[in-house]
Amino acid sequence: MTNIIEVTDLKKHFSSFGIKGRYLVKAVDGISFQVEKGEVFGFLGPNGAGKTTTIRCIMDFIRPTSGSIKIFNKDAHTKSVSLKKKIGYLPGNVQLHDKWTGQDHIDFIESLKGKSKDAKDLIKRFDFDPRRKFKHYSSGNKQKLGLILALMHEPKLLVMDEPTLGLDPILQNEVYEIFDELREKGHTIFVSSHNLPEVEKICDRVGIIKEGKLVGIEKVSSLGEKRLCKIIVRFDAEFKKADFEFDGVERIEELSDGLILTVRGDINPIVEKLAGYKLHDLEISHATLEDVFMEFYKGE
Amino acid sequence: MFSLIWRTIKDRKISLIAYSLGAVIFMEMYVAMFPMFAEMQEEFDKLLQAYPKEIFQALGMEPAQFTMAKLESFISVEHFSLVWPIVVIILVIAFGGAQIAGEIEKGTIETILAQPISRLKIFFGKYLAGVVSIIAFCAVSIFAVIPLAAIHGIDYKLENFWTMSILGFLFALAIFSLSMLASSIFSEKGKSNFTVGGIIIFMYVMNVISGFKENLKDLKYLSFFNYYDFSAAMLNNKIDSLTIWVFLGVSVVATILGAIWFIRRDVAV
Repeated sequence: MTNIIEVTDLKKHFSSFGIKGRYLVKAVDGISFQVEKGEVFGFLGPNGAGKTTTIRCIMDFIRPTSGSIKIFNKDAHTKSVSLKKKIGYLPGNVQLHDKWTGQDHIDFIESLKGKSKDAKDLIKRFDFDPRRKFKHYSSGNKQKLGLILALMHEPKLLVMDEPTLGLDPILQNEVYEIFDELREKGHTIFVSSHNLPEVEKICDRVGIIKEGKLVGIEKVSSLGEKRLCKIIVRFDAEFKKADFEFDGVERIEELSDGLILTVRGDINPIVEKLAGYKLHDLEISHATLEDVFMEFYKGE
Repeated sequence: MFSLIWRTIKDRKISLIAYSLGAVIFMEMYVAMFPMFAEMQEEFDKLLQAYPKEIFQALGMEPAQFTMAKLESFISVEHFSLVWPIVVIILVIAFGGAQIAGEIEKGTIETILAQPISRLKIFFGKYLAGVVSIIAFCAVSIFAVIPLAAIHGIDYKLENFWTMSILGFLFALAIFSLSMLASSIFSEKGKSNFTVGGIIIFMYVMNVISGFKENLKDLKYLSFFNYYDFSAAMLNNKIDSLTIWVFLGVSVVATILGAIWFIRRDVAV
C-alpha cells in the first residue's frame, strides 16, 4: 500500500511562561504513523492531547521541533505549496471573514486554487445559501461552508478536524456519504474527532493520542476483537465462581444469585461453560468504542 | 497573488475611503479659509515671526520661509505639519496590523495558509495592497487641491504638491513597512498597532526634544519627523536625498525582516 501521510518521530515543543518562569510544553512528543492511500484514518484524543498540533504540523502552519512529515512522499514543509493543491483542509473551529458572503469565500478559494466543478453541487447537497455574510450564518452553516471549501476541489487528501461538528444528523450522513464516495475513488481522509460513534462508522483505522504520545493505532474492525463484553448471569441453582476463572475473563463480580463477568475477546468458552448450568437470566452487552478508548487511557 | 491584493484592498476600502474623505475635507477647509488669511497676510506673518524660534525647530519648520501669501505655505503649516501625518499614520498602522496579526487573531489566516500559495506571496500580496492603498490615499488627499483650488479660484504650484505627494508616500511607506514587520511578529493586531504607535510617538518626542537643547540635537536623526520635511517639499519643491534613503532604507529592511519572520514563524490561531 502507498503511504499518503508518513509521520516519523514528530516532536513539537513550545516554550511557555508561568509563575515559576519558563517551562517546556511537549505538545507532541515523538509520534510516528502512516496513513495509507484510500483509507479513512481517525485521530482520537481528548483536548490538549496533541491532535490539533499534529494537524497544524501536517498543514505546515507550525514547524516540528524534530521529526519529519511526508505527504504524497514529499516533505510537508519544503513542498507545502504544491502539496496543498491536493489537500482539502477543514479547521476545528471554522473561522472565516465576517464581512464576506459564502460566495465571496468560494470565489476567493477558486481564485487561488482554480475553478471548482463541484462547488455548485456541494452547495445544493448541503442546502447552503451562499449569498449571506459569514457573520450571519449559524454555527451549522459555518461548518457547511468550511466543508464546501475543503471539498470543492475534490482533494486527494482531506485533513479534517471534527468535520460534522454542529451538523444535524441528516447532514452528518451526507458528509459520511461524501467520504464514502471519496474513499471509493481512492482518496484519503485524515479525521481528528472526539465523536467516537462517528469514528467507528467512518474510519478504517484509528490512532489514539495521549499527552503528546501515540498510545495505539488499531484497525476499527480489529478493535472489536479487543472489545470487552459484560456478561451478567443469574443461576437457578448453585454455581462455582472458579469455573469461570480462565484466560480472557478480566474480572468476576459476585451477585447473590450469579456473576458479572468482564470478558475480553472470544466469549465462546464462557458460553460453553454456561451451557452446563440452568440459568435464570443471561445478559451480554458489548463495550462501545468509547469503552475501548477509555481502556487505552486507563491503561497507560 | 493578484486576487489576494484585490481582496485585501476590497476589505479595507471603507476605511480607505473614510480616511481619504476626511483628508479631503480638511484640505477643503484650509483651501476655503486661505483667501481670508491671505488678506491678513502681514499681521499673520508678523505674528508667526514673533513665535519663539524653538517652537519652529520642534515642529521642523523654518520661520523665515513662512508667509500666508502663498497657498503652499499656508497648507504646509496648517495641513501637512500635523493633520495629514496623523491621518496617514493611523491609516497605515491599522492597515498593517490587520494584515497578518489581525488575521491570526481572527483565525482567518488558516484558510489562506491551507491554499497553494507560499507565505512569501501572502506577505507581499498584503504588502502590495498596502502600497496601492497608500498611493491612492496620497493621490486623493493631496491632489484634491486641484479641483478645490479651482473652485475657490486660488493659484498654486502643482509641482510642489507632486513633491509633497512623493514625500508623503515615502513617509507612509516607511511606517507601513514597520507595521507589517510588527504584524508578522505578533499574533494580535492590538499588540502590533501599539508597538508601532509607540515607536512613532517616541520618534516624535525625540524630534521635539532635539529642537530644545543643543546637546540633544542629534536625537533628531532617530526620528522620521526629522526627514519628513514638508516645508522643503511644499515651499521649495525639494526632497533631501537623505530623506529618500532613510525612508526607502527603513522600508526595505523592515519589509525583508517582516517577510522572513512570517515565513519562518509558527502560525497557530
